[in-house]
Amino acid sequence: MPDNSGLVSKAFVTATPAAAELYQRYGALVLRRARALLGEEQAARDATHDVFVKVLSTLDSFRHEASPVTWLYRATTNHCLNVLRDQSRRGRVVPLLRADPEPTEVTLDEKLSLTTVLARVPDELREIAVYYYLDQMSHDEIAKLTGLSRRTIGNRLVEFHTAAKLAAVDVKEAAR
Amino acid sequence: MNVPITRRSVGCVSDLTIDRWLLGETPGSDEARRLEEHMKHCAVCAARLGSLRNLYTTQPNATAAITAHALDEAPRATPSETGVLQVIVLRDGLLVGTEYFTPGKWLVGSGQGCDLNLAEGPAARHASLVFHAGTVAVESREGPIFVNGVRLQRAEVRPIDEVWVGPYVLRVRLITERWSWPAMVTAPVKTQELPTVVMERPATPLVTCLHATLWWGDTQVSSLVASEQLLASQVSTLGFDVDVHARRDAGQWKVTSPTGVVSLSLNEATSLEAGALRLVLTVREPAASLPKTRSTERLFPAVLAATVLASALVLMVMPEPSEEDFAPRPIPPVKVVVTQPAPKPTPTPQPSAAPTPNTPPAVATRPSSKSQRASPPPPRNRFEALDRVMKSALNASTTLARAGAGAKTSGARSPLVAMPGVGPAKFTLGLSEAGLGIGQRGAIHGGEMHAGGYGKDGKVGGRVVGPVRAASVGLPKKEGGVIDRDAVAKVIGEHLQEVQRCYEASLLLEGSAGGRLSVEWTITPSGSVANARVSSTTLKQASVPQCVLMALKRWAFPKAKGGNVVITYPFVFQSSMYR
Repeated sequence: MPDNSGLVSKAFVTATPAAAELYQRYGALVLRRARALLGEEQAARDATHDVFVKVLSTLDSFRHEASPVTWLYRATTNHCLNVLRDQSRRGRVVPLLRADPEPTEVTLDEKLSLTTVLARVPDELREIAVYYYLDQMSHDEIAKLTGLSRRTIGNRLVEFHTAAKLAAVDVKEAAR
Repeated sequence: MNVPITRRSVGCVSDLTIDRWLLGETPGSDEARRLEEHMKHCAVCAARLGSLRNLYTTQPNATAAITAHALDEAPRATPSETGVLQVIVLRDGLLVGTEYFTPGKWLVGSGQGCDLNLAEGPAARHASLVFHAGTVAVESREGPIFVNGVRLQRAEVRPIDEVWVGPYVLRVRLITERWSWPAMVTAPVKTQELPTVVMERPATPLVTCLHATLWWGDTQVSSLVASEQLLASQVSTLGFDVDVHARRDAGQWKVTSPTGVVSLSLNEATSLEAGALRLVLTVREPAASLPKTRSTERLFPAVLAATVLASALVLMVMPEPSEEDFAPRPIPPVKVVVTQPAPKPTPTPQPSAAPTPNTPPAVATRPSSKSQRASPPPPRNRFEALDRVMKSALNASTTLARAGAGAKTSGARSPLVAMPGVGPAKFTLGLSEAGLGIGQRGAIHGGEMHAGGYGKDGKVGGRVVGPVRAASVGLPKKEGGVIDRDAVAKVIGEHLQEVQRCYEASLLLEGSAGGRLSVEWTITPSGSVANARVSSTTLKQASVPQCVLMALKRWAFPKAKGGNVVITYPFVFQSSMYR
């Protein structure tokens, strides 16, 4: 099944001047955000297209009182996290099919990195952890961005800490 | 995103805040003011802001816009920026071959001179392939092209797209370095260029140092501080494989990089990019020479000398402290027990004082005092004590009812009440049968106080702890009046906290000692207190009786009917240390 998302995106851009302006104005923001999360140029560009396809298809439901930057920021973050999650799922399947005689060494730091722990936590914790640890946002900023209360942000970060501790335990056991 | 789970900085603004500020979403807001204020003092954030601003102003961001115009523009040969394009040619699902292209505009077809020659099928100059600024696009010329099954005149091509050119399927793959920042900032990021951020620059540049910070994307990788010069080997140690070195020269740092030489003054920064890595060089003051106000500098020796002198004087004047002064004086937990006092030895009842028919039978059959003290065992727990209290309250109410019916006796401790109008006999209203312990517990600063009472059986259950609401009043005497005993007990119970405060205040000043304080007062027909006095006390603290009496005079009792009623009530104070 061919992927027509790029065409759809182009059609949107050429069809609606407002959408084109949105793309022109905030395309760099989305692309930079995707680069920061995905780390690969092509994946980031793909993510940028997909994000705008999603955003433009839901343009009518856009809350006009909200900031476009935060709106696109969240949309990009969630999309990239989903991409990473899908990659991690595929990553569990591919080694079974591919006979890799020498598995790559993974350092302890990498095991305890944010990416590793993110793969173990639910979606609602994942987004907030990215904002807190990757983007270095404060509780207030995360609360404004997500629309949640500060208490909820704090509680979810505590839950994320618990998951990170479990990951640390696993790493220690593996090191033994 | 392989970053550690740590917070790298405190107080620095997030990229989102900078984005919103740059894109004009927060003009004049508190958030913008905080950002601008922070930029004055944080060179790293100033450098981040400069980089992001370049991203928004210089980079052609929208790939769709590129496809709309790039085909008509002359291709720009900038291979270092965009890498190499690999075109994979498939036919019938099989790999035919691959071809590599640098940025430019290339012909695809079966004719002579085509850059990508596809035999048998496509037109001679079938289509054009444009590779520009990391973006690939195709345009139909002499033959149709289909992108993902849709016929288009021109389209952008991504690695996931398939381009049909005749019987061939083309797929593209961009071979590039890791993402690099759009343009190398070779000029120092001077905050004067920014619209609102103004850095403070001292009039006379001090000895400065160069902070080198290596960033990968938004993540700080490593950093170092150079005081005299920054060697290329140090930069390489940081993980930045670009020949960069710097030297301090007359208050300025000259940064030499492959792109040129940049001079940096205090609080100025520059950034160099190599792939995804970004080296931020910032000139800052050494930590030891933080800016101080001149007044502070002048005053500091004087303040130091005055402090030393004052300390010496205090040491000379102060007497040698005794060991006791340094001994900790913890306030022990206090337990105040308020009970009714033990009854005085009951005089032998006169034979003439035979109980009347209205006298409760328990009075007539009352055993001796010794057997009375031994007969009721102390309550085993608070529930048993509470049960006793309720029973005694029931008995007392029965007694009151009988007294109201005209019960009369001459026994000093008999549970009788004088009839109204009867002379000033020292009748005692109280409990007869059941010795009881009642308590009202209030934990105040580690202390407990219990209001307890007892009847003829002596002190029973004075330690009972429990929230007993129906506290029984002690031994009121009647002077022709009648009063509801429970109401009096309730008033006393409501004010027991004041009594406890009196006791605790004395504990702080006069040490821990307990005792009994028996207070007698008169309740007037208006409910006020008159003739309050201490009938007896064994307390060592002299302040407690006065305090209790002062408090007692403010209490409001129910109105006595028919005349004054004299109440005698004992308070027994006991602390845990005393026990």
